[in-house]
Amino acid sequence: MSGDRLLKLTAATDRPSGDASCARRGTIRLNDVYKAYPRDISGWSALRRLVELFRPPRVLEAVSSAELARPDLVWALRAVNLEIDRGEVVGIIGPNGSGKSSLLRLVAGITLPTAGSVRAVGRVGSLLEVGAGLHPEMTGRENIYLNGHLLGLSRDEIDTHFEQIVAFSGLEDFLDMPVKRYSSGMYVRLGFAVATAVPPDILLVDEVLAVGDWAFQRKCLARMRELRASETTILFVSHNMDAVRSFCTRCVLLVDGALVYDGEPEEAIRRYYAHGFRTWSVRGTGPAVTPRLGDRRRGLLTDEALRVQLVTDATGQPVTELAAGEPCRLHIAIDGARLPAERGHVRVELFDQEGTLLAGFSTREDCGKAVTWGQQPVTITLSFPAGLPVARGSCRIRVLVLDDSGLEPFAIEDRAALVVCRAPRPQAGTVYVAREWHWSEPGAC
Amino acid sequence: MILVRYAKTIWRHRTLLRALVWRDFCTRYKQAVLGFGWAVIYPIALTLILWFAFEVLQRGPATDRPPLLLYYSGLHPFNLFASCIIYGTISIVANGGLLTKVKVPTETFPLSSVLSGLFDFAFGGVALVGLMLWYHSAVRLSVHSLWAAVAIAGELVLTLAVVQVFAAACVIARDLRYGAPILCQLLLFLVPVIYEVPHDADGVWRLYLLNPLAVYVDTFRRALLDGLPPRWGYFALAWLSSLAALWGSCKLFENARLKFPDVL
Repeated sequence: MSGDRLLKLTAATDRPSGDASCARRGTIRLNDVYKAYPRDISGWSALRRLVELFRPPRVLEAVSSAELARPDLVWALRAVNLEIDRGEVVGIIGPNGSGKSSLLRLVAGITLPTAGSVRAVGRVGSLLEVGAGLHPEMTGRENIYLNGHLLGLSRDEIDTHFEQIVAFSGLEDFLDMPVKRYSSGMYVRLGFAVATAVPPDILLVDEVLAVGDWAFQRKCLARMRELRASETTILFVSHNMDAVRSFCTRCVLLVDGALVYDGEPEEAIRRYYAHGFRTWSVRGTGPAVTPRLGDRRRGLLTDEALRVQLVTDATGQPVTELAAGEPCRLHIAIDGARLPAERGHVRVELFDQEGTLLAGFSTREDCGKAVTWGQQPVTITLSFPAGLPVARGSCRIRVLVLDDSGLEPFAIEDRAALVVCRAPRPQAGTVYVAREWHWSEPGAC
Repeated sequence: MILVRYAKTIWRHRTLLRALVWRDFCTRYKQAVLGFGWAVIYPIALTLILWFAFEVLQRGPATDRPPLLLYYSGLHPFNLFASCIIYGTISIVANGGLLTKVKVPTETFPLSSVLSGLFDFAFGGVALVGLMLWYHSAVRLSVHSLWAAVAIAGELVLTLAVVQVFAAACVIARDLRYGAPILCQLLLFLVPVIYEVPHDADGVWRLYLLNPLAVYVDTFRRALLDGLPPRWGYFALAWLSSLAALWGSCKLFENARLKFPDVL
């Protein structure tokens, strides 16, 4: 049975000009796919692996839970089912190590699944890493041919498209230089130009475009739009959510090798951020401050002295998700007994998901006088009647307790609150502006 | 059956194979001042060392052949095998960057390393022709000399068989990278390089000639220097065993090749 399945698999991925008798070119089917990698190969276990290497490859029918728990294996993908039709543009997002690249490698036919079946019909063009398929010692010209052959193009096809490849890559002056002297941006230019010269049935792009400069990235996205128009199926791995949002028609979120969401890009991105913040704040438990040199000397006190909660006005409950513009407030509890002074200032800063400071304000400027807490606990409330100004993605709130001069911090809560925001209605840009429209109907006034 | 499949795969990817061989050829001696000179220098240097050790110091084996011609005519075909094994063993590992990122017909890597070994063989052949001209009185060419080419073809089949298995195994046990050169050095003494197989090979020589590599080297030398045909029985056996080895090797390689990206 597994042999039969294997044959099917090689038939689908081995033949550049593929037989499209049972499925349309450009379609991808992953059926209950699992992929495991050995954790480490060393010492005597290598001998056993050597015997294993020369045995016929096996694709398991199903994976038992005992298999999943084996300590010597890393499961890069678990029970992934995916059906992609010709012409779809699918973004694949997820944290590092969630199986995105493994997925692409299976679709490209580079590796076999441990269990399940993978079918990709048609010619697959892939761009899985900067400089993949380029030989450093050979010149740009020679590499265009080598890489073209690797992507299943004939010599004639490369000859026909040579000028176009060179023009797209913008490397006219470097064609006869060994590519080892190229910059990483130039590697990507060459790789992308070759991979997309002749529209493949399926194009796989794995986060390589980030290396190119802004103008080239625009050019690549424009080229990929052309391919999309010519019904090339595109799988696009990226950490650049703006690119995913603007380019993909569908998005898949992978977490720890499992496909947790498949659908609208906007929703996938929202869940991606939500997941990112969860792990981020879990890792941030304990002292929530970034320790800095000299903190101890200055007697900087942290978690015990300062507690912060963000609650909505509507429910009064702490939140992790919030609609932009929804009224909310920050409760800042300061334990005066743990602070080295009896009075000081409180400063609040808002950051977007890129870490850019959106706004920062303190009692010093806003109120003109210091907060006095003596030796007592005191709770300060900061209201945002017009909500937070973030239209999408996350907003991070940092709270600092400062001395009387407003310069020296006593306590810092770096991630006092993390909320995923979304605008109530679709809009462009990341800043939320509270707004009202008015006009008069003709003849109404 | 499997050999047909192998040949089909290679044929389908012949343009890629050509590019890979060209790449190996271009890069093998790149940034080396002497360049392709090394393909000639190595066997000549070894020949001179053997000549010094066995002729000058030891007053070596009594043979009516000029010693330089004797050693070089053995070393030349032997080196084809040895250098292919040494380069070929790392051919998969060296292309690891490619294998894990691009879908490539993996079969082409061992084959291209063997084929580009032929370039070294051709360059070294220039020196052999020179020696044969120099010692032309000791060389008797005849129509049987063409058997040298058949012997080299058989040797390539054998070499490819060994290289494929070594290259695959090296993916897991990198020990082979160090083991392969040692193996080749040992083989140097199990192959008629510094001595000759007597004309009427009997006794222990019968066992000795079961080694196909020894038969190929012996045939090559007899054909080119004496104009003699192969020792038919041993030659046929060597070819048969080489083809059988290639069959097994292709089978093992086919089993292993899709697992390379996972362990590299």
